[in-house]
Amino acid sequence: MHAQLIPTTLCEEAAIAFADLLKGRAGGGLNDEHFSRDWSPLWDELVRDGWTVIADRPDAEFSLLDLTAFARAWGSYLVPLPFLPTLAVRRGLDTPPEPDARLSYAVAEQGTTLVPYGPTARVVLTADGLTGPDALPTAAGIDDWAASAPTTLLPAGTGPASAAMRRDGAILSAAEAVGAAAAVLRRSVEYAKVREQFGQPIGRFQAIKHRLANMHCSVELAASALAWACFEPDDAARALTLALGHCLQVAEGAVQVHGGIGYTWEASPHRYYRHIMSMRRIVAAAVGQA
Amino acid sequence: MPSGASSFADSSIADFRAELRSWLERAAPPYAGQTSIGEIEAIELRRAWEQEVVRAGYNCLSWPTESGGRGLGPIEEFVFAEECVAASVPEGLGRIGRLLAAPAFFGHGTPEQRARFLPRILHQDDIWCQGFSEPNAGSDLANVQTSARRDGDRYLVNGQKIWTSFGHYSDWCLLVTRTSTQASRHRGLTMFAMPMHQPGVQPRRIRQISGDSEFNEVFYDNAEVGVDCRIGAEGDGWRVAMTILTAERGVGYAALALSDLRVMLEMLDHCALGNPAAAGEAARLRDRMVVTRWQVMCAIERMAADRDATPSSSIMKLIWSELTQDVVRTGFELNCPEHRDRWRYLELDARSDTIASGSSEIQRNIISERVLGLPR
Repeated sequence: MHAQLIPTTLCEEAAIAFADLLKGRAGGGLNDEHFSRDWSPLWDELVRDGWTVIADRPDAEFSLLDLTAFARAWGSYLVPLPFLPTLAVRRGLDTPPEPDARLSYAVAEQGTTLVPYGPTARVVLTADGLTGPDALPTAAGIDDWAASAPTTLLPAGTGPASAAMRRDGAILSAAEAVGAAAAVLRRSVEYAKVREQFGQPIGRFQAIKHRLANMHCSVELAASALAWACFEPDDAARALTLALGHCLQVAEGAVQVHGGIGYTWEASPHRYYRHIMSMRRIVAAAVGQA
Repeated sequence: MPSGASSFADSSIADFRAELRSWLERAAPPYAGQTSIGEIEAIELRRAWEQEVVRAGYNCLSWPTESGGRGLGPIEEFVFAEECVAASVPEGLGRIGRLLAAPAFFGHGTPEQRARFLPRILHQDDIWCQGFSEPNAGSDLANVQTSARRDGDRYLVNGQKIWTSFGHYSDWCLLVTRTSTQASRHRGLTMFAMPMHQPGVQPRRIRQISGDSEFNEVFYDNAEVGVDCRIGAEGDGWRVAMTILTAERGVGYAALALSDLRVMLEMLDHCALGNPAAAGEAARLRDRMVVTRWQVMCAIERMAADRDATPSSSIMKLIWSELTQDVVRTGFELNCPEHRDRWRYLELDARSDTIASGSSEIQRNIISERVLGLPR
């Protein structure tokens, strides 16, 4: 019998390989080029290497908890592709579509319907089933608060996906936020090691050190909340709300540690911050419903 | 190397929990829920309960069977701690022996020491205390000055320890001493199992802000300890101390802290009845406790899988200690008639959670320097 509250060894090794792949393809600077790029080649590579089908049933190799390990790796790289919604939808289908299908799902929010990564998806799961682009109601708009996580806004009243599906989607979105938080923490630690003031790296000052230590604890707690949500699905709203709260604290801390630079558009902290904020919106909509 | 179940989801754990619950149903009632007894009676009650646990074969579950344990692992230990709290039984007196002395002997002791001390820890024949801190060596433990000078087949110990909990009734002490002033600060230290009942060992109670006097200054005046009680070689003291400190901040203590938190949160729920704002706060604190519990359980599964959980210990300690203080503060501020005396006692008593076993400041230094790699 394997460990269950933590990813299996097999999964951890696969998640490392996955992260290495992403680092090679998306590990550069978070500049305009990153966000305006055509990411289709990466999608094709994910399909070719079998990553898009890792959640497929019935022979699912990975538990939901395992999938959060991949989701965290994904979230560290801020790639605007519907990889995680695809996994979430495929996990809930008895017969998933072809491996290259770019999928997402609908969640109801007060006054609107959200489709995570909608602008990058081709097919959306609603209450009426898998719905192609022509059958969808005309998009009301796009929320691109985070260029890394564009969200389609459909009119209110589009039937949302099932509660179980939304919950899986929310868990992976929360895991994605944890990955983003871990990444911006890493960047903040590196910054603190390199940035010098008063003749030494600012990372030597306890105020900075202790803030970064707090941020690390937040990432740990957010990750533990994912396990809670996976194993006690009825508590998903409580667990994921806590998780996203911790991720937000990490993002806030990252701006603080970067000082004035952290407050600029050109620097990277706000990219992770916006991504986490967008994940929060999706999670709140997805599990806030009956 | 721990064995036993590898996951909380194992069916063996469900069986273990069921077996435990039925034993507790029979054995716990005479010991349960006794909160308003005096200190001497409380000590006797805890000692008696511990003997029940020993008799039933539930003590030291994760020790190897050849040392008297059941060869189980940290998951079973955690489940045991949780079920005992649910049954409202008191904690035994053997915490330091089981959680701190035993790892020192398993990790650094000789076979003779294990044969001598472990059965007495298992059967709760000995009560242990911890002699680390000194007036000038708190956070900076390497500044220890209490000396141990070799004299034939024994050492003579001179100096003073402080914050020694249970020092006034302990039989043995895990004592960090300085045996060499020529080696560097960290390398001149040596660990001993110090016999406490001798004229050269003088504990003096210290009164705490809560009104209790659970800890002591302990004066060592040519106190004697045999060479056979030295744990590890001369100069190994820092390494042995680190084994002990990691255990102190590890899952064993976290599990106990979580158990305390559960009890407090139940009390808080009582105090919040009929007060929606308070109930909301209590619910948020409960969610934080639940996440902390999942964090501890994940760390335990990592330990059971032999994946390194050591970095987790500072994080866990920081989190449970600060959460405990937040719960206590909320309870105190509610000022409910039934529990106000208890909360105000806890408000003062809980200050020690972020000071003892490595202050929060030290834990944050450890996390930032050793886990994140920030410069010292």
